[in-house]
Amino acid sequence: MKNNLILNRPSPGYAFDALTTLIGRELRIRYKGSWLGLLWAVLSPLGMVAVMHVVFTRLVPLNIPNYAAFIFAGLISWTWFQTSVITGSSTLLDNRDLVRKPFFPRALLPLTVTGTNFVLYLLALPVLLALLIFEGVPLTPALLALPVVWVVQFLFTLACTVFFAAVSTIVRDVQHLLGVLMILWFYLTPIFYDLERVSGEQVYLLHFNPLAVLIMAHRAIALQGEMPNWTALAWCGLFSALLLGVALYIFYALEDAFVEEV
Amino acid sequence: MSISVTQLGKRYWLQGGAPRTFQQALAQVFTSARRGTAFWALRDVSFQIAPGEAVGLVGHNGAGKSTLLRLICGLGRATTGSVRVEGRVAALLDLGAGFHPNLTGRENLYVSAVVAGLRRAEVDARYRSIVDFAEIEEFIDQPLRTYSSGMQMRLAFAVATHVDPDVLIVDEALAVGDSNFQQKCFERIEGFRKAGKTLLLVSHDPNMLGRFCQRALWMDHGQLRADGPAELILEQYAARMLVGV
Repeated sequence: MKNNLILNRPSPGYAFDALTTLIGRELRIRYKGSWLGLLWAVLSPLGMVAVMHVVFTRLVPLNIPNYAAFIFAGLISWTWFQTSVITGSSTLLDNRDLVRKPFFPRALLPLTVTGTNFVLYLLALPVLLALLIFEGVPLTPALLALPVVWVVQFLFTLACTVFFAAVSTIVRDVQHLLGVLMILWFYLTPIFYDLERVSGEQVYLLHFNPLAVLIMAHRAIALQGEMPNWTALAWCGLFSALLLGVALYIFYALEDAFVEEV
Repeated sequence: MSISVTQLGKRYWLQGGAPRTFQQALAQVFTSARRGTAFWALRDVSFQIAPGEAVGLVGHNGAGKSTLLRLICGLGRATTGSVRVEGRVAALLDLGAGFHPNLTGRENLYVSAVVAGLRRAEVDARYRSIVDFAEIEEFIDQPLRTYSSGMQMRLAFAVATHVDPDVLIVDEALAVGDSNFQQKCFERIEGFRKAGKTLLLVSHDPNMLGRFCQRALWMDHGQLRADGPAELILEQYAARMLVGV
């Protein structure tokens, strides 16, 4: 029966149109009726940075140089991931009518979620540059390596989003579990702290966290003006691609079940 | 063939189900489903519809019409047999998929037309015609939540019939809007038929089917009871309905 999709949707151009249209719809739905609209894509990470800045320079000083840019680089990367996975886990349930639309390619829904949050990430990116300039960090050609990091993060985020989107249609508890899991993941990821400064025997394990690799790549590029750790990034990319393969397999395996369940 | 249905069967488990493939087994690890009583919503249904045919599908409630339609539309998996559909298919089953109350009529029009299978450029080209057909010109930039349900249905129907499909599948929920608009809908479907498109109409109302179809399929208890000229089949069906069996 899957052949129908191919018979009916021969063009990758269609997938592109559908994806951009759905991303536009997501952004409109999200900001319609709010006074500041899309500006929130910039304001909310800025607000988070302000809070963390106060906490970790005044209350519990971590003494990390250029701290605002340091957190911001970690935070936008994390937010892209976290929001995608959390929103993704309910996207099939929230868009029941699209899931049950004959011949609609359903994998577009988690892809839309990941894409939408990537757009929000890109909108927040100029603020990172502004913070770097504000804190006197020189902008270097290393910034041109950033798109490579995006590709890896896109793969990893998409893989997790696809997986949780499919599984949460069958086990609704997953959505609640994810909330807790994300808090744990947040603290295990060097978002407001520097992994190099953490000591302890098992700390090396934290380097296997793909988000740690991605965030450290962001910081090497933006703050140190260096190339990221290509080896770590390459492994991370390879792992993400495999994970995406597995996630898509599970998605399609569950597809016939969730079409009848949602 | 436009639609080929071969020995199609669909079994539901009234309590849970037994895994038949690894994929289903995987699905069941998560649902912790148990084997229950088997219920065949469809059993050994075979027919073919040639391009350009207009076919009516009749049957009382629970005869398996909806299950058959869902499988033809690729929703869910057949237990036995197979379905093949060729060409672009539009199904007027789920009008207004992708509609969101806070978006304007125009925004919803675009989303729903793209979701139904059109490229953006194709929507641009049909935009005028869709809006005219739906008769919502002056409200097109208002949020959908301000529309009456009639207006929403008109917009949804207008989009669905502008997809320009090779195969049009129409479910009985065709009672859209006032009689004036209904007339337009019928004309539009008639237009599809004249243009040589394949038409599959589903209803338990023989009169509506007789209006468009030369051929009819009669579903009964999950099986294909009769397949033949619409006049004949619909007459038999109507007679049977009067008897009340």
